[in-house]
Amino acid sequence: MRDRDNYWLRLQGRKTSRRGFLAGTGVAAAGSAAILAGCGDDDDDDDEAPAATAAATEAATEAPTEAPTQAAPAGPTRGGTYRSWKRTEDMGMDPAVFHTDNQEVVYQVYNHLLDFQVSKGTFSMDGAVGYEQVDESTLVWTMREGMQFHNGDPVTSEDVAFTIERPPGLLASLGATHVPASTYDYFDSIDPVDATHIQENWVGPRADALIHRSRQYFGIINKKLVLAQPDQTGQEHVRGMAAGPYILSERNAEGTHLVRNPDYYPHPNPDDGFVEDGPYIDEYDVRIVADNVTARSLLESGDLDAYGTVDALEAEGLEGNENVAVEGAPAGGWAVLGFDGGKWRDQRAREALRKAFNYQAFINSIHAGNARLQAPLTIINTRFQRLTQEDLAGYYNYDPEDARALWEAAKSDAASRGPDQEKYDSIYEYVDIHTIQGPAYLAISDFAATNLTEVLGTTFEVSSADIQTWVSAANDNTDDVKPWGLLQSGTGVGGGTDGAPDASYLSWFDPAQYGSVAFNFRHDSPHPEIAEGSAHVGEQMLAQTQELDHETRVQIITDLQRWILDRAWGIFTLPMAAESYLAVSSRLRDYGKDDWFNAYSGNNTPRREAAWLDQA
Amino acid sequence: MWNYIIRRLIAIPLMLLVLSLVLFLLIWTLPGDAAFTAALSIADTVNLEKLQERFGLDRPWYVQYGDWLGGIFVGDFGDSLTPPHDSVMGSVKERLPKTLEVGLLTIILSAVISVPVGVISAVRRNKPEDYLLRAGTILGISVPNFWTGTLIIIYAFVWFNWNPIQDWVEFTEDPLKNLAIVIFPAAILAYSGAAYTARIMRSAMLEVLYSDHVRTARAKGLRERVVIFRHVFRSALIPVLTVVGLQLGTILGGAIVAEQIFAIPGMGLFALERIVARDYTAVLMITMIFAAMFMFVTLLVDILYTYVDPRIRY
Repeated sequence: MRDRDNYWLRLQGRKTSRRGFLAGTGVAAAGSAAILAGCGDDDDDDDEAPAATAAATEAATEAPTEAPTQAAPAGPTRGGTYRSWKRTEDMGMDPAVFHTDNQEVVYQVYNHLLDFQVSKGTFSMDGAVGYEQVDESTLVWTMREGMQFHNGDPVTSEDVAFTIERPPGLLASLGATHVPASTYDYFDSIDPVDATHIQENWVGPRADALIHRSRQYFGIINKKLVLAQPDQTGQEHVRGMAAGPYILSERNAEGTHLVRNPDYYPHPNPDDGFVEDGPYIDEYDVRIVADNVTARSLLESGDLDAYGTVDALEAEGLEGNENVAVEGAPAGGWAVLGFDGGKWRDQRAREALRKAFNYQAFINSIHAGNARLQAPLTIINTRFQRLTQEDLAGYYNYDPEDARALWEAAKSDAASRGPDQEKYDSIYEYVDIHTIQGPAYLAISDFAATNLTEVLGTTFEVSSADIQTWVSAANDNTDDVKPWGLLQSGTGVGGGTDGAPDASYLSWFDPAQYGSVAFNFRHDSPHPEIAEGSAHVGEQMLAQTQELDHETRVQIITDLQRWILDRAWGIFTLPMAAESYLAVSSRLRDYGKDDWFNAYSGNNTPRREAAWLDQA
Repeated sequence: MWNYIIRRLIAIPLMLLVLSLVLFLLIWTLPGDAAFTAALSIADTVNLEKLQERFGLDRPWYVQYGDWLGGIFVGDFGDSLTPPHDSVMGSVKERLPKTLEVGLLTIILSAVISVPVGVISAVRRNKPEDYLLRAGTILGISVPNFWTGTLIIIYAFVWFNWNPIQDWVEFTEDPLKNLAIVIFPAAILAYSGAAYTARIMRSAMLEVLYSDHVRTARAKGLRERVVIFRHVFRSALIPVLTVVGLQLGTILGGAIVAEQIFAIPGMGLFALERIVARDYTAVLMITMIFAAMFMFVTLLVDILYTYVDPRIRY
């Protein structure tokens, strides 16, 4: 009874008049139109950039991406805004300090003496027009004339000498930089000889000096402006600090924006990657996007020019999208289980682990059946890598029975060593595989834990942490054993090399680098065999980096790799994805696909001034 | 009433002080510190002790905390611990308005959705409309924000070939475009918030609908609309007000997810980055701001009670 008097029932019972319905529909339509108007495409490229002719567009679309000058009759078009993304704000703008999400600046706002194209093994001249290796420990640079910083200051030989010599001083004053010591620890003095020549004097020979100088750390910086800063760095970017092709016009919580430097110097007779009147692209817009799905949706909707690495499954999912081009690119993915040298002192235990690992099952489940074996030196560094897949297969062979026998023998010896050695022998009871939180990392670690527990009969369990905590655990040297048993790192997808064998990935074995800090394979190890082995690895690392004869150097590196593999030393290297894929916009041309993972994958900004945007 | 407000206003800084100490200790006990962030992946060129000294992380915890607190009292909110050591207050000034805009829109949307849904659901109890609306609210409570957000992004593109993620535009520059950017994160946060509030509204309405004073009102011959709005709705608002006030915390927390998914450079994203970096200067500042806002809103809700329910006196 009460319900019948209900206002809401009566309201509901009312018939809607035609006029009321039309009015309501009109209001809804107007509201929707207003929202949609606000939601419209904000891509203004079409208005800003010079329009390519239909014929040129068509021709360019058909052109191979790596050689537009050869195949596209209309040639590259100038203009447009290259849109990219990065996860977080930068940690400052000085190229010789930190490189967290600032690579669009250190590569595009700064210029360098030269660029190294790893895939081709060639150097391209940029701020330098030449160099001369005078003797084993003297290198003289000849600068390009007419360069000027963004504030009009001329680039002098003093600026270049200052650029080269500053990393050790920055490390001393700041406590940490992202510049590897191996790129400067051979300096004696760096001197400007005259207006256009700079001489590097080293304490000894260094085979990779040219590669080092091509790295972002040595972006040419304005000495006068840097020294005028309170911290004497370029961390807070001031216009005029750099002389590169782009000027930093905006930097805030949303990202960075770069605009073309109108006074950029020409490159007459340019080497590969540079163009005479480049760069072709007008502006860079690098946006902070913390979420992968968000970034990918931007790519799919045509609002992003480079997403970066995708796995085979994602590559398949992107097929058919007209805004996206997915291309296979050379990459040397890295996935490892690092030993704690404090606990894995017995070679038999390390070998047991290597033999207990079911490679084929791992390749099938983690890499969809398509993977390659990785070596201590990345297999994509073909200038130095002489080990073949067949060579590596001799080391990485699944033999559960042999593995168990080796493990039991090592375990039996450990049991006889007594309680004072207990902390060094805990792996025979329990092994903690410590990894980073993330599906790919956990999948690899879970596979390893299950596989190794089953074969070796000891419990292997996975613990995971955010990257900060993981790094903290990796570097924890409060005791001579680590808080973990195996440190899982890398996913085996993507990854590149700068071409110098010290960096990828031999540095992980080097006791002067990660080998000691992260993995306890150190000179002062409590275990004599680890200490002796570390000394050997250290000596060989130094020997190869000082060897100027290429073939001799290759031999040293090959011998060192075999030594590492014979002893299952330091890190257990897992198979990597056989193919890596890049997802970029379908309008991006000549972006240096083959070197993407070597140089640009940091935050997806090609250094090539020859890169251009179709339909810009 | 004024005594009560003054007492609460005095208590707020004290509560913030305790909160800051607890938070600081929590961050301090986490493994790693801001120096590790700066040194991430550069084990060969790092002098961690030197870096910790530079960042002031080598000092005892109480000195670090005291230093931070002392700065607050003189209006120095400090610089971020991690490079490039930007002013925390500068970052907050840049980001807070964006989060507040999303938050405000969320509260408005939440109220606009939840109140009618709760009222209709109560008045049409156990009718098809009620079942439908309750199913909708259950969905809103059950489905996490990040999932709804991800679906919106994916399906906006799949169905309409359009991406809801746009470059940030200030409201003053282009209100429509600004609305297009904030509407989606606000709608997602509002949906889950409104679902919860609507259920509270419904149960509160049902409780009041069958109470004596409503029966009396009906017996007096008042029209049903007057009964509902003047006698039922107003009484039912008290628990709803409490829930809406408490939801502010959820909205601010939800901003972390929503801003991450929709790439809005607000406080949520800032908080996430700073927590990962173990940057206690920034984390404490962000938390203090969120906590202070929450405390003031709670006070406001308590004051509003007196207007909604004359029986309440302080």
